[in-house]
Amino acid sequence: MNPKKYLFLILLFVSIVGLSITGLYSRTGIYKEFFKNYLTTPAASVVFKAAAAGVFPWSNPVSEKEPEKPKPVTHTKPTEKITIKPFIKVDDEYFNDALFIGDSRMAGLAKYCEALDERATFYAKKSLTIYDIRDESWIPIDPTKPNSKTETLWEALADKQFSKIYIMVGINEIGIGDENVFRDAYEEVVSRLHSAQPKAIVYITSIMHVTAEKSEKDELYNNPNIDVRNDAIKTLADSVDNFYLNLNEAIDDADGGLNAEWTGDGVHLKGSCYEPWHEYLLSHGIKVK
Amino acid sequence: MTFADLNFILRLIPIFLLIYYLAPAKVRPWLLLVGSLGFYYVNEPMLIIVMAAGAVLNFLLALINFKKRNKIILAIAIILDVLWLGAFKASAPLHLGLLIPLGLSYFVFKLISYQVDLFKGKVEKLSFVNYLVYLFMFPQVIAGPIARYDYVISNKYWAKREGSRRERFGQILCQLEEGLKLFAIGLFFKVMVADHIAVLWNELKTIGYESISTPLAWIGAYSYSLNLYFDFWGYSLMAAGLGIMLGFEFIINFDQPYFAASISDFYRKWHSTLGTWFRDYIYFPLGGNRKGKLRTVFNLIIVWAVTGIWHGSTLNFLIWAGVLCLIIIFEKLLLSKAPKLFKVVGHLNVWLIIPVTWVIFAIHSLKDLRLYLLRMFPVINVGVAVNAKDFRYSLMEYGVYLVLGLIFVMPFVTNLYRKHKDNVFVVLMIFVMFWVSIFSLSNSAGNPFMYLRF
Repeated sequence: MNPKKYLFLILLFVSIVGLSITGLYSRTGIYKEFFKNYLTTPAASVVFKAAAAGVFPWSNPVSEKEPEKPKPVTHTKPTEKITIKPFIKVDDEYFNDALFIGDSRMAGLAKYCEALDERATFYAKKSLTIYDIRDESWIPIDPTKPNSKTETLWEALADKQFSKIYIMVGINEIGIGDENVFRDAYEEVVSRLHSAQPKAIVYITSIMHVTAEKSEKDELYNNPNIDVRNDAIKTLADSVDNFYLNLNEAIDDADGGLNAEWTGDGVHLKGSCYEPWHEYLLSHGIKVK
Repeated sequence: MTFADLNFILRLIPIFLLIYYLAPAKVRPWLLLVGSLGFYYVNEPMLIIVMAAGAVLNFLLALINFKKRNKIILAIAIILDVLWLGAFKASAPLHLGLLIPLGLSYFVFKLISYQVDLFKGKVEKLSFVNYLVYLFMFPQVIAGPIARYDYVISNKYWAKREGSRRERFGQILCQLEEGLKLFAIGLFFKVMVADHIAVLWNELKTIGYESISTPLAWIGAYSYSLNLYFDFWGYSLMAAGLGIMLGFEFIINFDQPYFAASISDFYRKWHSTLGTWFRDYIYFPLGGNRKGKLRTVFNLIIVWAVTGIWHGSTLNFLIWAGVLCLIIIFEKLLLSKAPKLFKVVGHLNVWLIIPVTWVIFAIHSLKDLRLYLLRMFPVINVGVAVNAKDFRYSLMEYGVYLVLGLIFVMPFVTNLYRKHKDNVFVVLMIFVMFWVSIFSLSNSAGNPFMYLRF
C-alpha cells in the first residue's frame, strides 16, 4: 500500500487525534473556560475556540487576561462644588468636535446620518464590545484600506482632542459576564477616556432595545437583559462629566421594544430610520466650555 | 444537526464509518438504516413517525405492484404521495398549523420515483431494508440530492467482494480518501464562502432595500447568486462525499451552472437531480417536446408551475418560475434558430438574468421585491437616506469572500481538482481548507442550509 494514496486520510486522522488529545489534556487547565459541555463540544474544536480568544496550547495556564481592578470613575475633586448640567437643544455644529464610539448600530448612524458623519469622528465597528474598547487594537489606522493596521482607542486618542464622546455598546457582550462585570469594564473605559481627553464630557448611551417580538423569542438578546445592563451603566452618570442618554425613549414603540417598523432584523435601525436618533441627540446636548 | 455540525464531523462520522466497515458486508445496509433513522430522529424526533408511516404505506402498494403491475395502484400511490406533500405545503398559506417534516419534499420525490421505476420493471428485487435505506439514508434525507433506487443497490461494499483482505482494505481507504476530500471541499464552500457571503445579503435587509445604492443592489444580487450556489453545491458535495465514503457512486447535482450556454442549460446543470426528476416524471410523461411546439410550451408551463409551487407558497416563487419559463420558451422557440446569436445571448442571459431571478426567488414580500428591483433598475427613485458609498463598505468587508466565490465558480478550478486531486500540494490545500472551516465553525453559531424546509 502506498501511503501517498491516503495522504488526506492520514493527515486528518493524525490531526484530529492530536488536537483532541491536546484539548482533553488541558481541559482543566488553559481550556477550562472553553470546555463547558463535553457532550456538545468536541475536544478538537475547543482548541480552535481557544485559539480565537488568544489561548494556545503553549499559553501560560494562569489567565493572561485577568481583569484589572477598575479605577474610580469620578475625576471631579470631592471638595469641588458640583453643578448638575441640564440637557439643552443644540444644532449640528455641536458635533464638530464629537467622537462616537460603538458597535454596528453606531456604525449605522455614521453611514446613514449624513449630518453627523460629515462633522463628527466615528470609531465604530461591528461586534464591538466594551472589553474590545478597553483592551483591543481595533481602530484602523487607514480606514480606506480593507486590511489596514489597527491601533487601540488609547493610541488613537493620543494626538486628538474631542469635547464630547458618545459611547454605545453592550448588545454584543450580553452573554459575557454579568451586569457588574459589564459596568466595571464600562467604568474603566469612561475613566480612561477622561484621562485621555480631560476636556471632554462622556455621553453613556443606553443599549438600544430589540423589537418586542425578538425580545420574546430570544433567550439572550432580549429587552429585560438589556434593561438590567442599562440600569447598571446608568449609575455611572453624574450629570457633571458623564451623562446618560436613554435612547430607547426615542426609538421604542408602544410595546416597549425597538419600533418594529424601523428595523429589518429586530436589532438594527434601517438606513432610513436613523433620524429619530439624530433628533434625540440634538435635543440632548450639554453645554461645554 | 446538519453536515456542518462539529459533532457530526468530528465524532459521529468517524465512529459510524469505523463500525460500518468493521461489520460484515451484509450487515452494512442495516447499519446504514439504523444510523440514518438515528440521524433523522435527532433532527425531527416527532415527525419521523409521519415519514415512517408514509414509507410503510408506499411499500405495501409497491408490494402489490411488484407482483402484478397495475396502473391503478401506481396512480393511487402517486396521488396519495402528492396529496400528502400538498397538504403539508398548503399548511402555511392556509394556516393549517401543520409542521412540515424535514426533507419531506425530497422524501416524496423519492417515493414517486420508486413507485414509477418499480412499475417500469427497473426494480428487480424487493427489499424492505434497501427501500428504507434509499428513503432515509442520512447523506440525502434532509435536502437531497434526489437519487434513484439503483443508486442504493449499486453499493460496492454490501456484497462480499473478491480479492485479498489487504486489497479490500486498500479499496476502502481509497474510497474514504476520495469521499473525505469532497466532504472537506463542500464544507469549505458552505462555511467559508456561502455563510460569509450570506451575511452581506442579510445586511441589505437590515439596512432596508429603500436605502441601498444601485451598485450595492447589484452586488447584493450577485452575492445572493453566489451564496445560494455555494450553500447548495457545498451541501451536495458533502452529501456526495459521505455517499462515497459509504461505498456509493458520486452523484452530480451541480455542474458549473454559471457557465451554462443558456438558461435552459443552466437548469440542466443546477440542482440537476431535481431537474432530471421533473424531466423524467413530469415533462416526459406529458410528452416532452415530441408532440409539437404548442404542446412543448404547455408542458414547459406545467413543469415550471410545479417547480414554482414546490419551492414555496408565496407569489414571488410563481413569478420566479414564470420568468424562467418565458425565457426558456423564448430560447427554445426563437433564439435557437440563430445559433451564433444564441451562443452570445445565452451566456449573457445566464450572467445578467439569473441574478435578477434569484432576487425574485429570495424576497418573498412583493412590496420589498418592488423596492429592491427599483434600486437595481432605478427608473423611479424610491431611495431614502441612500449612502452612495455603501457598496465600498460592503466590498471592503466582504470582498475577500466574493473573490473566493468568483474563483471557485470558475470551471477551471474543478477541472484542476479532477486532474490533480492526488497531488500532494492539492491534498495539503484541502487539508488547510478543512481546518479553516472547522476553525470558523468552532467560533460561530453556523448558518443552517437554506433548503432545509423546502
